[in-house]
Amino acid sequence: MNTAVNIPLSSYSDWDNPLSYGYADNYFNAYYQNPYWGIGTNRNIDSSNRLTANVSASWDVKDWLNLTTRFGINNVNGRGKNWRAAQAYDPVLQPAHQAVSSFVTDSEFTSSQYTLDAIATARFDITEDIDVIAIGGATNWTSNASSSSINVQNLSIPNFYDVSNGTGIPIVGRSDTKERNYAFFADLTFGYKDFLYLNLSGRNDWTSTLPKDQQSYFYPAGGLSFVASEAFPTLTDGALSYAKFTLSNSTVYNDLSAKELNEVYVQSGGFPFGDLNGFTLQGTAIDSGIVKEKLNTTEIGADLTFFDNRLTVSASYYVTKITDNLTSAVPSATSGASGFRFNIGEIESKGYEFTIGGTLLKSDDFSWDANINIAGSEATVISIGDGVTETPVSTSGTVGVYAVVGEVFPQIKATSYVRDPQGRIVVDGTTGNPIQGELKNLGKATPDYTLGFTSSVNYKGFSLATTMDYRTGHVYYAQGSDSMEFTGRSVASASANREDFVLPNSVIETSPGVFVENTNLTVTDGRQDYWNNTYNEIKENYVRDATAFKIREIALNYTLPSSFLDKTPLSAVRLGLIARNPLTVLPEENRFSDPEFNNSSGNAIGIGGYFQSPPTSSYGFNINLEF
Amino acid sequence: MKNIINNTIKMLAIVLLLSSCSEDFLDVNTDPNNPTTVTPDLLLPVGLKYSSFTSERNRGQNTLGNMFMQNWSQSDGFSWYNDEFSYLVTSSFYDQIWDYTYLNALKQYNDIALSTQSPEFGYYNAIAEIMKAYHFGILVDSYGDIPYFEALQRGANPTPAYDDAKLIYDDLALKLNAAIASINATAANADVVATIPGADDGLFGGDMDMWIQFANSIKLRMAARQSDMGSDLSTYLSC
Repeated sequence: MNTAVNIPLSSYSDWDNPLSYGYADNYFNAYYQNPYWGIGTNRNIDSSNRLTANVSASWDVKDWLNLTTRFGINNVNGRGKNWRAAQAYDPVLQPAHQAVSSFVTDSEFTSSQYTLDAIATARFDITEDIDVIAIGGATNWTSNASSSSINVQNLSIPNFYDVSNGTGIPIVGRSDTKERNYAFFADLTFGYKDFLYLNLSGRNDWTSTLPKDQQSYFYPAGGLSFVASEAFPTLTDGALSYAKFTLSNSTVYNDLSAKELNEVYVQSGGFPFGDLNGFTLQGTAIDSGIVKEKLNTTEIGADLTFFDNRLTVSASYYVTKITDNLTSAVPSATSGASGFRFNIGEIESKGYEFTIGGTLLKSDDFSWDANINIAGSEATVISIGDGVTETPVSTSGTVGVYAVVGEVFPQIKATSYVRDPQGRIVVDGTTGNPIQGELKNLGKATPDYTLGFTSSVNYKGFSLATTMDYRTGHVYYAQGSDSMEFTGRSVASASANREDFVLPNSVIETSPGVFVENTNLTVTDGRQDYWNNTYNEIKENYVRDATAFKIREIALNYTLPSSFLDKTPLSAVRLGLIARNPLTVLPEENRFSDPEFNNSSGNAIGIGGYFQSPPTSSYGFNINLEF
Repeated sequence: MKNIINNTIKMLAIVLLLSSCSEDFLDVNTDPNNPTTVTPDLLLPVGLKYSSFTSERNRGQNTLGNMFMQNWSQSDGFSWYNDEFSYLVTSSFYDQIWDYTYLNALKQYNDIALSTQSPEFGYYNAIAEIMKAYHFGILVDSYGDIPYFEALQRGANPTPAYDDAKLIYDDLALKLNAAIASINATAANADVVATIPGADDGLFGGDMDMWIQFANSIKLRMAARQSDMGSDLSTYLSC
């Protein structure tokens, strides 16, 4: 950030030479450090060991009954070391720089998960036409995790990174987490003449992370599938070769994370202070009546194949009702809580998926397979809670992701322009600057649909595989272009030659409700301040169309004919060229970033950020030898 | 071999059943690293740290006051205080005063007030009420109507309603009078030996007379804010 694109950073690599422009006191940027300084003096080293083991025993008690138990361990432990060197700055050469303090942190963690299953499976025929598969079992899951860290600051001996070298009180941290879960389950599948199947199942879970009265929960599921091509073999006389229809309904629950249920006190930053210790209640409030989240899904589907399996068509439609949706939201600061974990009411999500694929061309040494997939889903907020019509899921105050009753979830809201009834921008009658309006719904963060295409062409030893997709109908907030406004690197800030200008299509409100076209009043300080402090505050400017067409991968492979290898020890040789993300096409208004890259992996999708590495294109060459 | 497998299955099944049937098997959700209750002597120092930060932090109350009174300015060539000099007061202008006071200082003192209901902690309870009044008073000074009567209930009320500024001042005066009375009652209570704050009271070192004076000063300031407004100031002036 704050680094001009026309400056070749690599010419500042000589960071520790006081005579170089890369040296801290001489570096051109008064606010950010030379990245080579970081490369030379900061380290973050991690190592981990992993052990996984599985034991299983299976016994066919009778030819119709099988008993199986499995025991699995997944154990990971590791340690890390992180340090930074101190850096002082010359107060004359670099007056704006704060001195950088040194620190070293040592950390360790260990985590283990144990899984224990016992399953009995029975298969038998009730009549000649009806067979049954019955499964009953129990499972247990235990997770233990611990981690600790020691951090010391302001090291006495430069470049000596050990916790003994710190001054002041070390900052220590420790976390121990235990989670347990067990369940009993049963599953019955009835089959009638190999074309009609009925599946019924039930499972009862007990989990440690929920309130006492919520710990036990039962979830049932049922499904019906009908293979029409088996039931009526005459159907396959024509083009059709296989047809199956399915219908199912299932209920599942989501619980909380370990230790999330109880509000606790944490040691406050800056404590212990001498002999004084200090604690404060955690920022996030947990709803005292919090319950588990319930998801009920009904799905219908069809699978059809034609022309001896050359062409496949499958389609499905589902409705998922989420009740008591577990959400983290941002309450009013005046409630004294910075976050609120609660159940959000009801969300209904509807979606479909349609795939058509097959072998388009085929001869002895040539074939072309292609597949087109279209999928869409839309979640609507039905209710949130008593009289609440919207709640922020994540917000900076001026832009955020919201759940709004009656609207598609999630919605992006941001500070907007004030507009007259004709949609023209209202500017201040004195400054000529647009007036900052309220938070406004600017669109949904999920696409209307995603269109995917894969293709694979094979000719003799050559194969060419392509994957691409297109998505549209949604918006995202481009945080990167927002911050470029402040640094003066945005396209918008240079669009008027950094001079005062009349905002196009703007009006002045001369008296309430009376709007007069603005033809001569220019914005104030179009050189800098207008962009920094007016344009930059109206976050509507950074909510863009998130439509994207992407070629994800093109891979060209060549397999050497085996006759070439007869006299060598090799059994196979493959050569390949691969291009990942070679092409991304974005709409004209989105000139900055790939909308797919989010700040958060949680509910708050649609905030494109600079906290994540930007997407990269890569090109590679493979050689694969088998002996 | 079959026997071994058979026995293993039986053993595992027994282990599973035993572990499942135990009553407290699922009681592992308590946080072993962080306490669920804390005595007020460990809460007060944090509250006082927050209080000083509300005023002294960058763009805190101190900056706002000095900028608006034109006591402070900025050097030529910097563009750090443009909003202040152009009076661009939007919903995000100095929002850290609002957010930080409610989310840190007031949250902490409210928590102390709630956990010190027993006579043993009478002094701490009075200190918490006085500090709440101090911060609420400044918020009313700065913003006028603010959430007060429904505020600080965390999850029980995530969207508190706004209250009339005058009603808040009046209630704060009552709260301060009650806090002074509570300090005197705690000192006079022969049945319970109340805990007297020590080094954890960074403001007055546990000198409760100073706290009474401070409470009276806050009342006086709130009374001064309402001079010439025709308010009945008798609550503010009694002590």
